[in-house]
Amino acid sequence: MCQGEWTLAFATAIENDLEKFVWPSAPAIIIDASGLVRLDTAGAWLLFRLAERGRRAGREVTLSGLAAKHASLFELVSAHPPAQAVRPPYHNPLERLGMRAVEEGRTALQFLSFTGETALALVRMITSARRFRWQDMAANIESAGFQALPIIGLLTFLIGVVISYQGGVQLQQYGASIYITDLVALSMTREFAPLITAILVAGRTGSAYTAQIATMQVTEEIDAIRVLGLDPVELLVLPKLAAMLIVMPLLTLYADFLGILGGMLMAGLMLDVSSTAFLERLPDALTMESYLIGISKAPVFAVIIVMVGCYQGFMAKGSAENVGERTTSSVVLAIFLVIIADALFSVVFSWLGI
Amino acid sequence: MKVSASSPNVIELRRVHTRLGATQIHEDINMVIRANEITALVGGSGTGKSTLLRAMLKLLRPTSGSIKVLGQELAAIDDQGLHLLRRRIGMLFQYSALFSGMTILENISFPFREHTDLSPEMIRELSCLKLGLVGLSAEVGAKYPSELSGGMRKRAGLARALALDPELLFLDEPTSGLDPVSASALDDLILELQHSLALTVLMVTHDLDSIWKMADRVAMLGRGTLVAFGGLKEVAASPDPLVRSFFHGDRGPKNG
Repeated sequence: MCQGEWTLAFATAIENDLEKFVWPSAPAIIIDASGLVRLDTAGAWLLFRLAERGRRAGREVTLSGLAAKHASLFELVSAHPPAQAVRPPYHNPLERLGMRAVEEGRTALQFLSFTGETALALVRMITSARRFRWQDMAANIESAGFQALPIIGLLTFLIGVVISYQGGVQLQQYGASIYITDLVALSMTREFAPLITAILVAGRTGSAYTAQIATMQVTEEIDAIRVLGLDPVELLVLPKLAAMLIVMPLLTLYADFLGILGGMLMAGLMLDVSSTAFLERLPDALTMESYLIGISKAPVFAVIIVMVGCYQGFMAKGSAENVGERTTSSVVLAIFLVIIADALFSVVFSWLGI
Repeated sequence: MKVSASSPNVIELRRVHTRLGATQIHEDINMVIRANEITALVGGSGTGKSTLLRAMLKLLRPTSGSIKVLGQELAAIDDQGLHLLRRRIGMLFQYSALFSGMTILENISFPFREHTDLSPEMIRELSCLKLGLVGLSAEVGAKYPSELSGGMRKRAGLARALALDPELLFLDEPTSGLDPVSASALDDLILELQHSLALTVLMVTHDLDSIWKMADRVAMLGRGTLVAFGGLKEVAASPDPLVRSFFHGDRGPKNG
């Protein structure tokens, strides 16, 4: 005997009651549904499941008294018994590790092929003297370079202050305060300015590149570019690459300047090294070689950031969520590769003895 | 379900005006939608069909006028009441609006998980049941929306809209972007579900075949207002030039 409202709102209560239900021993059982006031799909499913359970327990179950308005719903539910959900196949940790390794290996190869594709597009564009997209490049220079000036300036200035303060405390003990110029100038130009700039640009601009291209990929705009007879790499990647190759050395130079300025101000405040003394010492401390070493890293970092950002964008597929995932991995990978490259630079320079 | 005069009103629009920026979208719209009927909302592009639908869901506020849905005045309803009201309404969006980060089965389970205290087992069973009701196989449940065809996505969207057994179902161009065979199958499915679940359906559509097959009533928007409203045959026979061109234009080979 079922009665009352068998609806979603009461489904849990009904289910719990049904759990406690013990089948009578009689072989034939009639479920009397004449007392049902309301029935929805959840209720109909519970009723269906009850009858099925009875049948599996070896009883002959008949349903009676179901109102006409409920009968069609019950039929609908009985006609579409829910399929068993397919669970994704299980992989043990070793299999997962292997799959991951294959996946990463494939990604590395794809990245290599994308880099090659871009190089080919570059060669094609130079040799065939095709119209280069100066306007796109200029727009990229503005957004990646000019608009990044405040944040890069502020952060490198503060780094200069911190180096000067931390180093100054030690140098003062040896009465070698004037060497603060060497410390600040060399560490800023050789390491901090290029590295900090690259990390900030990767976070600011690399991520924007990925988001832009990934969104275009997901909305089939990249395919539209191809179908219109254009090359997406030439259209989207080359102007960014050119812009970044121009912007990164300039930003690094700017970071050099502000970092040294920060160090100089701190030296004046804390070590009594006047800015005149600091500037007089600067030409001896900062060799052309050190300066060029720092600046020479900038184009390499620029290529890494653009290639990783654009590659991640082109690899996007499916959904909006994937755009977010790609953007995250673009930033992480770009910063990772920038630091690796910086370490390689150090190793190579120490071999060369410069 | 056939039109019967005694059906209670599910939606009542009284003197609804909508203005978006400088554009007057709706002017003086009066309309009543009765229970267990399928009403087709038709009209050319830009006549404010989807806007009207959004207004009925209170996703958008009309400039003036009153909208009553399931007996409640939308302008006067509080947040709590609106949540409760929306749970009684199902909506199939034009582009399905399935959550792209969830599998189909998770999409359908989502309303259950958020709004009910059912056991996980029961939620899984009911979600699979809805999946079966809209004619999708179990393998589809484990896939992500981006892996499905347009027709399957519509069906999955319908399953999600029907999850909480709504009394009122809004369909925004259910057959758009589908091939004629899939469109016709979806129409049959909606008719069957409407009949068995005693749904009231309001659908925005351009598809004359669906209209002839399913609609009990037709409301036609045009010239910023409701041009025609009534039983299907009655509207189709209207002498209004907009209605004539819609029902008897070059692309409307069938006539009642």
